[in-house]
Amino acid sequence: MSQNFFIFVFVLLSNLWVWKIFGQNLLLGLLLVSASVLLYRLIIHKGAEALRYIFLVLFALLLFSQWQTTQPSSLTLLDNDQKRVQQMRLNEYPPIGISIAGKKLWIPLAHWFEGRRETIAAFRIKKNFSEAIDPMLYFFANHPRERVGVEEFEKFPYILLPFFIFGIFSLSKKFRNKSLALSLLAPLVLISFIGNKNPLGPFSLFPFLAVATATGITKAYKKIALMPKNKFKPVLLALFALFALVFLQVISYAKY
Amino acid sequence: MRNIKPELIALTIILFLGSYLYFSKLDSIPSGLYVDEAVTGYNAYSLLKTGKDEYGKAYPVALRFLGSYSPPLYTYLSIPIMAINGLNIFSTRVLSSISGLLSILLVFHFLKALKITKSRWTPVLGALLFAISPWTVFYSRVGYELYLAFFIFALGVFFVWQGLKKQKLLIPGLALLSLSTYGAHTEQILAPVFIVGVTILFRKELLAKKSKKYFLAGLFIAGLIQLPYLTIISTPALFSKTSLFYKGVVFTQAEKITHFLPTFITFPLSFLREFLSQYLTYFSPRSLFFLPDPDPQRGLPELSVFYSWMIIPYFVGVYLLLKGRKKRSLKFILLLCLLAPLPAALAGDPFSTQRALPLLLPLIIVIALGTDRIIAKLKTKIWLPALAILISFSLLLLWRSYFVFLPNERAKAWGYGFRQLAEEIKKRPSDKFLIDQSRIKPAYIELTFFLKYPPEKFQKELDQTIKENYYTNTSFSENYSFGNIETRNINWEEDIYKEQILVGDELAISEGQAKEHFLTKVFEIRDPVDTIVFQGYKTDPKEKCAKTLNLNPLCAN
Repeated sequence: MSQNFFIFVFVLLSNLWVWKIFGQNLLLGLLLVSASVLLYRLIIHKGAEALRYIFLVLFALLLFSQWQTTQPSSLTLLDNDQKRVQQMRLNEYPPIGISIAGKKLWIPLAHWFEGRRETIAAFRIKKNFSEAIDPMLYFFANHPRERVGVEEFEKFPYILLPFFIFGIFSLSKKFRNKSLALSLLAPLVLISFIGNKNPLGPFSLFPFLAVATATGITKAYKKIALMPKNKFKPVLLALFALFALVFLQVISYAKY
Repeated sequence: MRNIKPELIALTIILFLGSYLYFSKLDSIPSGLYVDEAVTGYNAYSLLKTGKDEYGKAYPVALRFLGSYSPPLYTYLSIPIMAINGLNIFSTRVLSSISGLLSILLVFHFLKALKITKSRWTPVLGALLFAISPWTVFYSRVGYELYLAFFIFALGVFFVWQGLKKQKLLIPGLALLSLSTYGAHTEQILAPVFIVGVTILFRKELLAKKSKKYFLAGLFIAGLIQLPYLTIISTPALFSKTSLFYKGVVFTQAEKITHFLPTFITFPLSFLREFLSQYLTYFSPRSLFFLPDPDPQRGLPELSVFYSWMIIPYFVGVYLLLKGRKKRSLKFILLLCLLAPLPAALAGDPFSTQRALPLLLPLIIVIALGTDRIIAKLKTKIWLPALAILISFSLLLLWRSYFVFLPNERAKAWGYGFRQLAEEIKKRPSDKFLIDQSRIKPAYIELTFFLKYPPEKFQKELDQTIKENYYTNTSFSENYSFGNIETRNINWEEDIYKEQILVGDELAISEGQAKEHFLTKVFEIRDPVDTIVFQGYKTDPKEKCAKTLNLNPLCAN
């Protein structure tokens, strides 16, 4: 097993998210890990075409699972309180009109913004998208801006966030790779439409997150490896100790 | 005319747009007057009329506002405005609007000076995006210190950047940074941290032979500007916001880890996570482009601090910033970007747009940088109409949130009703008013503001010992008594036996209580969404005593 792959496996398994998924659905856990491993192979080692097709099938299954396990939330239906707010807001707009040849043409801006189903849907899609794209959700359980009515849970240890950003930065030139772009964009689009009411979170983004984080760690490791030997080991040990402490901390927060 | 550059014409148009956004309906939107604005306005008025603040302290170094100590610059600079235009909402807010307008020019020149963009239009576009960003519009219309402090700090940063090339400019740069500490609490922490950061990162340039004397002269002047603060350095007045630190959260979270780890590790670990989460939330796309400030007074309904579409140039800009981090200009912006949220990240609020306001400058530069790269890749006939559509739509969203929703839905959070209450009090000069203080921000300062209560009279009616221990007495009570007004919680066992008008909201005085105690409603004030903000009930001690057979000892009076 190569060093890079070892790092990838380390990222894959050293997070609470994957174990939560395994705990609730073994098959889904296996699907997630398989898709992640294949994506990693495709991105780092440019695997054979057959491998790409297998990945596509697994990833499609993962997206299907995301859709199936997410509690559907309508993009246009309003509950009673939302209807009250809608009515209140419709009354807040001043009348907007323009005069053309002595005739007043009223512009129903209030209706366009507050009443039309298309607008309501667009605002909800935007909200769903904003929740899925935020790194705070994956590394800090959305703390300090937790969502109302959602049980937030720890996913990746927060110490991995800098590596994730570094990974994204390193992978930026590879975004033309269709598999990588797909692993990010397809879940984002899907979640934007189906919403985030899923007890396991937006797990279809897991492969992308794992690959990006592992890439970041690999690149960082290579930089650390350039250090003189007497510094290399202490730095590596210190980082590992910090990771272990943070991992215990994350477990504590999840448990208590 | 031929010599006029098209960029300057565009900039002039942006300035007109900014003027409209920052000055129009300034006295009525936000509706009401927030307590921080009232205390600023009234103290400026008091200093104008008497040379002393509300407590009777002559020209304090830090103003004792509602039990906290505020940097004084905004209040002092508002004095001439009060002298010209009188004490009113417009006079209180206009200094922020002027700062907002000047900041547009600053952003334009800063983007030009940084030379990080390819298109000649990017500084103009950056100035436009800055001018219409909800973060700018919101705080350019707020009647307290934040935007002025932001402008002075940003100007200082600009001069320091310019000073790296034209060394003489280091002197005004460092002086302005020092002056910004008199602007707002955030700058008190950020300005020195930024000076240290720049000194470390650009030490070669700053300590080179040709710039060393200017740098040291700048530091010397910056030090001189700090002299007034040195006079109160040993008092709690200079560090009055330390209570905002999330000590309690760190302790609670540390408790959770003690099951696995020894105590000496749990606290630093708990702090590390709390601090990092607070800090990184200021760069989170969800916080910057989708969610408003969680505080109803500081946020716009349905609008974040930037428009959602700006997330694309933000990502591109961040990428370019990290990629080009070794370039001098980008290193400078990266430093500013990383330091700006530090003061806010040490306070407990999840995403405080007012404490993180200095972050607006580097972020708009990052967004402009991203925009520059995007438009460089596209043909003008594509990017120009696309941008025009996006900006038009953004302005519509701004109008919806700021000019339609905010004055209606956030009226109560902005202290709506005090102006009307003051009118009711003026109508009844012979009646005594008791304002229930239990669920509202300190009412005394709103009423002194709207009643234009004579400051010399107010100063005499207050506890005189406060003035003597001005910088050390940090205790604050919301209970005040001045003129025919008293502000405190209603005492239902006594106050109904006194001839007066009780004022409170629907929860303070229910219809049942009114019936039980023979109270007569004399006025009612509703906010724009028809919620009762204040209602006034006149007591009837005679009837109350008669119905309770004069059993209460207060009936004897």
